[in-house]
Parts: sequence; C-alpha cells; structure tokens
Amino acid sequence: MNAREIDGLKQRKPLLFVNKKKQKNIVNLELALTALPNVRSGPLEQKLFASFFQKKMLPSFAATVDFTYSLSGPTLMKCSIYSVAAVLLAAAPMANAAAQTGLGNPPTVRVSAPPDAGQIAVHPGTKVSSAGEVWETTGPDLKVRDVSVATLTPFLPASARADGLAVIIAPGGGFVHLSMETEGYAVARWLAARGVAGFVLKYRLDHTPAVMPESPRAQHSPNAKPDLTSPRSPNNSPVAFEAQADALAAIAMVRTRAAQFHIDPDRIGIIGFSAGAVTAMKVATTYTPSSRPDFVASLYGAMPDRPVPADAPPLFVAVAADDPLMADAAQPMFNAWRAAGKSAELHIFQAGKHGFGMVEHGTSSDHWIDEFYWWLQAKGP
Amino acid sequence: MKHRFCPLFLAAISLGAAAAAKPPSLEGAPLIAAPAPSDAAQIAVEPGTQVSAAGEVWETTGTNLVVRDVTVPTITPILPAAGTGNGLAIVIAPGGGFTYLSMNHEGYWVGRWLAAHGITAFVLKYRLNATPADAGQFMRMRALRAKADSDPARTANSSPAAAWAQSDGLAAVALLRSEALKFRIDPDRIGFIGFSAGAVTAMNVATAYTPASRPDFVASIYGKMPDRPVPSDAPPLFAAVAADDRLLGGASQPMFNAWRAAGKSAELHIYQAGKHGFGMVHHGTTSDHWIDEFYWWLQAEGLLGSTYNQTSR
Repeated sequence: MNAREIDGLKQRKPLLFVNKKKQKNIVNLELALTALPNVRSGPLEQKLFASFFQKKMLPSFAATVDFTYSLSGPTLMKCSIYSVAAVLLAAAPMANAAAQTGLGNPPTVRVSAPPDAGQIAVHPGTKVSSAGEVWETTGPDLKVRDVSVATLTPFLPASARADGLAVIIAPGGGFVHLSMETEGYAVARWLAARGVAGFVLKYRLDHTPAVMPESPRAQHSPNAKPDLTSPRSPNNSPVAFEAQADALAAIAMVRTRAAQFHIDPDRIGIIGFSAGAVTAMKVATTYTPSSRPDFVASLYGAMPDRPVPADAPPLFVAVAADDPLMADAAQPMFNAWRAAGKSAELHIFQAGKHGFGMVEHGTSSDHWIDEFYWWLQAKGP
Repeated sequence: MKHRFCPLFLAAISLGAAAAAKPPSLEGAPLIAAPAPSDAAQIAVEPGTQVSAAGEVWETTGTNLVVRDVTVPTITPILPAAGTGNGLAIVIAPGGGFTYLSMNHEGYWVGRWLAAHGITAFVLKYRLNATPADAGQFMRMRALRAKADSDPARTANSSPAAAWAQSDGLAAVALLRSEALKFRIDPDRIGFIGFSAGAVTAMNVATAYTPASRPDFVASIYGKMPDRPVPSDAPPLFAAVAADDRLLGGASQPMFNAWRAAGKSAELHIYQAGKHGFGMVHHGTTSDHWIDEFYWWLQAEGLLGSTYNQTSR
C-alpha cells in the first residue's frame, strides 16, 4: 500500500464505530479497512482494535500481524494500523472468500426463534417456552442465548431408513450461547438422512446482556488456554451443572419414550461440541442406569475431573491440531478411557481450528462426521 | 545371500509376530511357497545396480503375498490410468519386521487404491535380514523370538536391515525425484508411506534426508518415532494406528506430539480396533477406513494438485 492509497483511505468516511459501549458494525473487510485511519487512539480503542484483529476479524492472520497492546501515542498507533492494513489488503481475496464461508466472522443479525413445534421439554413437569430467548444468525450459523427452559428437537429418519440408533446432540457456545445450526440441526439432519435419530438439545444458559460483547469467552487474553479445572472456569460454573442435568434428563426422557420414537432404548448416545462436549463428558461420567449414554462423542471437548466409570460407554474424540483452546485436551481424554480398559477412538485433524462443527474449511476436519458414522457402524474391539 | 548372513538376524523379530505367536504361522495362516510375481516394470533403486530376485523366497498366506531374503532393493511402479494422474507420487514401504515384506496387504493393494485415485505409486522392496530358507524353520524362529523378546519392535529396529531399509527408502525418493519427468510426476510432491517396519523406515527417512531424498510428506501406519529430533524442515506427518495394537498402539501419540512440538503439521488417527497389521484388510473396525482418511489428508494438505476441488457434504 503506497502513500497515495493511504491518503485515499483517510478521505473515506469511517464505517467502523468503536465506542464505550463496545458496539460495532462490521460489514466486511473492505469497510473495516476504510475505517482504519479514522480510529481514535485512546487506550480503550487500542485494546479493542488489537482484540478485533487478533480474534474477531481474521483469526487466521493474527499470527502474521505484529500488533501489540503496548503501543502508545497516536502516531505509533496509526503507523501500526497502516502496516496491519497493508497485510490485510494483500490478503484481501482470501479474506473475502473466508468471510463468505463464515470464517471471517460475518455480522450478527437478530432473528425470530425458528418455528419449532416438535420441541419437547426435557424435565418432567416443565413446559416448552422460548420466553426471553435471543436468536441471532452469524454467517451459516443460527445461535440462541438466554435459554431458560431445556428442550429437545427430534429429527427422526424416514421409517424405512431408521435403524433404531439415537443421538442426543449438545451444541457448544461457552455456556453463553448455542450454535444451533452448525453444531445442532445440521448434524441431526445429516444423521437422520442415514437412519440415525438425532435430538438437538437446547440446554439452559447463563443470562447475557442484550447487546453481547464480541467474545464472552475470551475477554482478557484471546489466545490463552482456559484452565479447565479452575473453579472459575466456565466448565465449573453453576450453569455448566445445569447443562449436565439437562443432558442427563434428555437421555432418560428419550429412553422412556423409545417406543414412540421407534428407537432402541439400548442404543442412545450423546455427542457434544465444545461446551456441549464438556457436558457430554460430564454426562458420560455421572449417569444413573436410566440416564447412561450407550456411547459418547466429544468434538473439541475436555475430560472432567472425575474417574472413568467401571461401565463407561465407548468414546469417540475429535479435535483439530490447531485448536487454540482444546487441541491438547483430546489425548488425556482418550488415554484416560484406554487406561481404564475402555473402547476409545481419537482423531486429531491437521487443521480446522476451534468450532468447525458442520462448517467446511477445506481442512481434514471437514470429514469428522463420516468418521463418526463409521465409528457408530464399526465392530467393537 | 549367505555373504550377508549375520548372527544378529536371529534377534530380528517381526513387528507382526505378537499377534501370531502360537502356531508357527504368518498372519495366522500357514506359509505356502509361491512364484515371484512377474514384475517386468521393477526398477533397481541404487544407481548402477541391476534388478535381481536371486535368493528371494516368495510365499503366500492365502490372500497375502510375502517375500523374504531380499538383497536387491527395487520399486514397482503402479501408475494411474492415462490422463488421470494428479502428479503426486508416493513410495510405499510394506512391513514385516525387517524379515519379510507383506507385499499385497501393505504394498500392491495400497498402490492400486492410490493409482485409482490419480496418485502414482511405487512399492518399495527393501533389503531384509536373512532368514532360514525352510518355511517351517523360519516360522519356528519367529515364534521363538517373539516369545523370548520383551520388546520385539526395538530389537527389529536395531537390526542391520533397519539401516539398509532406511538407505533404500532414501535412494527411492532420490531416484523418483531425478526421474520425475519420465514418470510424469511432480518432483516437489513425492511422499513416503510405510507400515510397521516400513513405517519405522518411513520415519527414519523423514528424519534423515538430504535435499535430494527429502520426502514431501510422510505417513506412518502403525509405526514409531525414531530416536532423532524432528528436522527443521520436516514434512507434514500423517499417523494412524489401532488402539488395540499390542505392539505399537502407544507409539503414535509421541510421534504426533514430537511433530507438533516442533511446530510442524501433523494428523493422528487412533482407531477403536484393528489390531496390528490391518493394512488393506477389512476387519469391520474403523481401521478399514484409514486410506480414505489418508486421501482426505493429502487433499487438505494441498498435495493433490490443481485438480482438487472441495466436495460438498
């Protein structure tokens, strides 16, 4: 980018707003770049910009952008932004492609709750209600926040295809939201097309502000690994235990109503993603006979701080090697299961980052669900 | 053959021996003498040497074809149909504890699958430790050693043939690179896959190359990490093994972790079951699908060339 181009950018109207309410309208890379030279350079703005580049806008380029919080003074700040802009401009074609496929964090748009007449409340005596829920789309995903009544949405296969297998699907979202489409409905539709009954679990979540901060999980240090055993970790928060209770109740409920769903009460499993995988692993280590999952699958999840039960179900573990949050959590889970003499399978993909779900990235993580399906079909050891 | 006879050969134990320790058999089936396959396309890997099957013992266990007492290393090309090649080339090193080679299950059949998917495959017949000519004696030797040896994998890897195999593997990569035009392959996309002792060889190759013999990717199917550091320009690694592999079930995680700790690309699959030596044999376990995952990995690493398009689910 030469001086003239930089001048050109300066003339344009700012389209990115960074104010003390932390609200942003980011339409695409082009607009964001347009706004760059107009940013004020107070400490708050510096921090927000660093955060914006490192994890929100283009996570994959963050490593190549030398952008630090320690910059001080308007001049340095602007110089730094120009160099960032130059890097981003060079990468713009890739970045635009990424934005189209959902990698570049497209805008969040508030939508109404989907018509979901098939929903079933998981706890006996409760009634389905979406009161207070906030539904939003982000690229290919549909997310919900502020869930206060846990429900299941069944996706049943055509009766000719049904093979009696059932899977409870727990989406992720750091116990703050649920990625209902890419880690829920899309998984269920894929499985139902192959004869497996899917039940998408909408578990209870923490209450959130009406306007969300950009990333509730990583406010402080975007690339820091969470301490999963810490009492302050989201995995050990009260809401995580509500999610566990919801998932256990969901299994028990599906088992009780197996005949109605045309499924085998002895082949009911659970699959979870991220916070949903943390929940699935908690379920797989604290069940009663009626709520015992017959198999468990953890997609970028972690092992709870509990022993492997004597009759632990078979375990399927998958994660991407470049997942900054959970890559290292997969082997301990697999090894704990094997050390207890239980069946376990492990896939660590060359790339795919955190949260790939049913989103294709052109990495080998695109194929996890084929591998999961093969695992469901395979003969035991 | 006798000139290479070394007393150490008695210590050389098949990596596959543990699964077949009771009756004197290979892969659970008796060995029956078989003719060497007619293989006019074979190429000697060492410059200046001539292809020769003199002294080789070929046997069948039913579906598998095994060879012992190899003294001249060769590669057998298995080419994609005309017009379907994507330029990717791969050397395939079968296993057999450096005393034999599992030529069908971990060689020709792998090559055929890959060639059907546009990849130019070369099955490597590497030099082996000498064995007793008589099949019964050979199998009794293997069974005895498997019983006596607490770590057959370690013993096999320190036998003289392990070093010969490494040298043959490096020579094969260098040969393909220098003859890339002739084989219509991309000299920058030549990889190496190995099984068991062949995977040990693959990992030896992937940690001891020169620029001419550097593999552009490496795949270890039930292999293990050599006692060497990960090179600074190490190729991407694909590792697969079955969780119930009694010999090498635990050896793939250290390999994957060493690669990742060095900041290199790596992928790991550990199947719920499949035991040691599944190769292209279907067991009804998830190990049946390792080659699909290997192909997807090649795709994801961008190794299949410009013909690659993302497929929708």
